[in-house]
Parts: sequence; C-alpha cells; structure tokens
Amino acid sequence: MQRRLILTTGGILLLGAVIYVQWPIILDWAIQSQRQFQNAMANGLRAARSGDPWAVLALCAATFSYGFVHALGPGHGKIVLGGAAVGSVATYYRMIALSVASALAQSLTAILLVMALVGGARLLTGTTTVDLVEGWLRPLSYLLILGIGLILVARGLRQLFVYMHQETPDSCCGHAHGPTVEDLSSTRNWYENLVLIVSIAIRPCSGALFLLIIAARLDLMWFGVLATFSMGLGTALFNVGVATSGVMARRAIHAGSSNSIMAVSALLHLFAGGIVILLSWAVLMRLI
Amino acid sequence: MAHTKFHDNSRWRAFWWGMLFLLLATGARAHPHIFIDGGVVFVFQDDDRLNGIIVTWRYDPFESLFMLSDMGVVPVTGSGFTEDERRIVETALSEFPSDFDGSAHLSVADEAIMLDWPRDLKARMVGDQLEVSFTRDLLSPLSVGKAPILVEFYEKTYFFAFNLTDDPDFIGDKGRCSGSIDKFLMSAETESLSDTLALLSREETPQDNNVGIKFADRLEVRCNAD
Repeated sequence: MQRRLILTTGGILLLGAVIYVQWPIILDWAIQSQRQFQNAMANGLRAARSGDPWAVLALCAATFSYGFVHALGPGHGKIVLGGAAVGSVATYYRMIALSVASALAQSLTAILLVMALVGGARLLTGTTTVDLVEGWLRPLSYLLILGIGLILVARGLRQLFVYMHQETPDSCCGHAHGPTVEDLSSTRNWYENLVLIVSIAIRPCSGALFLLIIAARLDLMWFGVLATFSMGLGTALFNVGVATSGVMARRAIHAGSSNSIMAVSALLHLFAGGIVILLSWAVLMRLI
Repeated sequence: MAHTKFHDNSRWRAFWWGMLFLLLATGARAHPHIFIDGGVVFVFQDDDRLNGIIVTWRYDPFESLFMLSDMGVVPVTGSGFTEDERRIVETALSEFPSDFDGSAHLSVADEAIMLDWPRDLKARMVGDQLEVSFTRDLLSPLSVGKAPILVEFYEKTYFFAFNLTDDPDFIGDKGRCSGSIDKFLMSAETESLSDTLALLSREETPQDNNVGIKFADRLEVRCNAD
C-alpha cells in the first residue's frame, strides 16, 4: 500500500513537472494544431457543399480533433471540472460522466442557439450571435462558476469547522462522531451536478458557433450538428483526462485513510474553491 | 493533537501537486483569432518618390469561408469567383471600418509615414483562401534617401495575426530598391505577454492598445541613389 502510494505520488509529480516545464511548447503546438484543424473544418464544409459523400467523416474528424486541442486552451470547463474533481469525493465514473455530459450539453447549447437565432428567425447575423454569447452568456457562465467556487469554499469551511471540533475516530471508539467527508462532499447532489453542467454548457465554444453559422448559411445544418457533437466529444476526451487526474491526485492524498482526510479535504475544497472564485471574479471584472 | 497529522509529508506533496494541477488546468490562450498572410508592393512615381503601397491580405481558410458565406458567396472547391461574386465581395469589403488602422505601418528614422484611406480593393480566391489587395497612397510622396523605410505588418489589438509571407515588390523604382523581411521571433517578454492575451475572448481588447506591434513581422526597404 505504502509502495503503491509512493509510486503513484511520484508518477503524478513527475508528470506534473514534465507538463509544467513543457507547457509553452504544448500550448504553441495546441494553437498551431487548432488553426490546422479549423482550416480542415473549412475544407470539410466546402467539400460537403460540393457533394463529396465522405465530407461528413472528414468534417467530424476535424471537429473532434479541434475540440480536443481547443480544450487545451482557454476554457472554463477545465477549471470547474478540475476543481470539482479535486475538491469532492466524486468517483472516476461520476467525473467521466460529468465531463462528457457537460461537453455534449455545451455542444447542444451552440446548436440550439444557432438554430434559434440564425437557422430559425434569420433575424441576426452570425456575428451578432457570437456577440450575444460573448456579451451575455459568457458573464452569466462565470457568475455560475463563481457560485460553484463559493459552494466549494463553504463546504471546505464546514469540513474544517467539523474537523476542529470532533474527536478523532482513531483515538476514540473506531467511528467518527461528526459528518464524514462523504457527508460533506460536493458534486453528490443532482442539483449541484446540474449547476456544474449548466455553468459549462451555458457558454458554448466560439469555434462551434462559427462552424454552425457557416453550416447554416451553406444549408448544411445537419452536417454542422453532427460535427458540433463530434467537437463536444473531442473536448470531453480532454476534460475526462483533467477530471480523472484530479480524482487521482485527490485519491493519492486520501490513500492510507486516517482522520486527517477531512482536514486535507477541507483544504482542497478551500483551495479549489478559491482558485475558481479568483479566476471567475477576474474574468467578470474584465467583462463588466 | 489531530492537527499534527497535517505534517505528513506524502500528503503535503500530493496536496501541492493538486494545487499545481489546478493552476495548469487554468492555462490558456485566445488572441489572435484570425490569421492573415500577405505582403506589400511599393509604388514609385516618375520623380522617384514613393507614392503609395499596395497591401495584400490572404485570410485563413476558415475565416475566408465565414466571410464569404456571410456575403452569400461560396465558390466551389478549386474554382475562383464568377464576375458577379467578385463584384459582391469587392463591394462589401471596400467598406473599411471607421477604426481601420491598416496593417502596414510605415516609418523612416522613427518618423511615421501617414497613409491615405484604402482604395481600389480587388478580391480573388487563392486556393481556399480569400485574397484582397488595396492601394494606400502616401499623404505626401516620399523622397527615399539613405535611411531605410521600415514596414511593420500588424494589427494593433492582435485580434488579427498578420504574417509577411510575400516577398516585397517594387513598381517604378528603376531597380534601385530591395527589401528584407525580419520575421517575428518569440522572446521571453512576448511569451509572457502571449499568456496574458490568452485570457481574452473575441470581445475583449488588450490593455495595451498597440500590443500587436510586439508580434509584428518587419520589412526593411533600402534604395540606392541614382
């Protein structure tokens, strides 16, 4: 057990160090790749317009790849999912489900928005649709994310309070007298999961919006819909990596169960919540 | 004391890793959003003075498709514009926004050379990229002396990333002039700046309203005396 813990922690630290050192190179690669996949999306759309039967496959492959590398860049999803994974007791399966659900919900938002504003009413131009998302939905999204940060911090404070005032199970009669970490965990209730998904989904990726707007203008809306879900799956793949790494990190901390778990968990809640609050607040201040 | 259990080293290591993980999860970049390749042609008049420049832009394929679909013009893959399509595109793009500041910023010995509003915009397809070129006259024709003409190719907010990809060309210079391109290279300063720009969305503008110059490709033109 001890050896496994050391190996896991060492592996995680090594991976973290490699990523940290190579981060600028990774980001440069992501930016260049994004540009290439974006251009591949344009080629796919034009080929589809020309009646190429394989165009939809090429388009979906391009959007899936775009979704994956785009997730490496700016994004609120990683912050929320990463924070939830580290500062909760959610299982791998739950975090994977949340990552996939939130990415697909984000795709669905883009689809509904473009269908309603461009495909349906045709009252607004594509640029106006993007303006709407950036001007209104983005601040709303960060407001919800701020709420998630506050929930995490509140739970952290509660755990810390309980920890400071309870007797330790090890030193007493073998059971805890206060609530357990599970009792105080985040992402346990369905409505909190829903808030998490909505906070990510409410602000669709601008790449998906542009893709759908072009598809709508070219009368290729259903190609665009398929390609957007494919993009969502690509994003989900990356976010699953972030979320499961978060769970792995938290489990490494919690391994070898002792009564200090609650205190460590409280600190993780406070730190994750603090980061989420700071980042969302900084963005909100820029936007207002 | 239960508090002493916090001093367990392996837990602290993992805890700090968790923090590092969260910080990495926030790393991000956004600007620039649109990529434009292009170049500059220098037009001299009979008295050997520089009279104007012709600027060429080639939008990236995705932006090209977005712009063209907005105008209801999408040529079949591999073909150019019809005459009607070309007219539609040129008419639409000839309306430059009021805050247009160009992309080719000219100076001689640190003195900015003022340019007139763009005119005579021409459009064509180059592969899957929309290419436009337009003329900008110098407000006062310039006698080119020993000091080189410096052209910095950029857009102020770095929303657009301009790349000097075309070799400079000269009209009416009687073979006197030549130019050399100095491509932008990332430094520690621009790397850090690039990270800051990362946090901006399409709708946001950088605090430094001339940040684009820091990422500019440069072109230096020298002309020999007669």
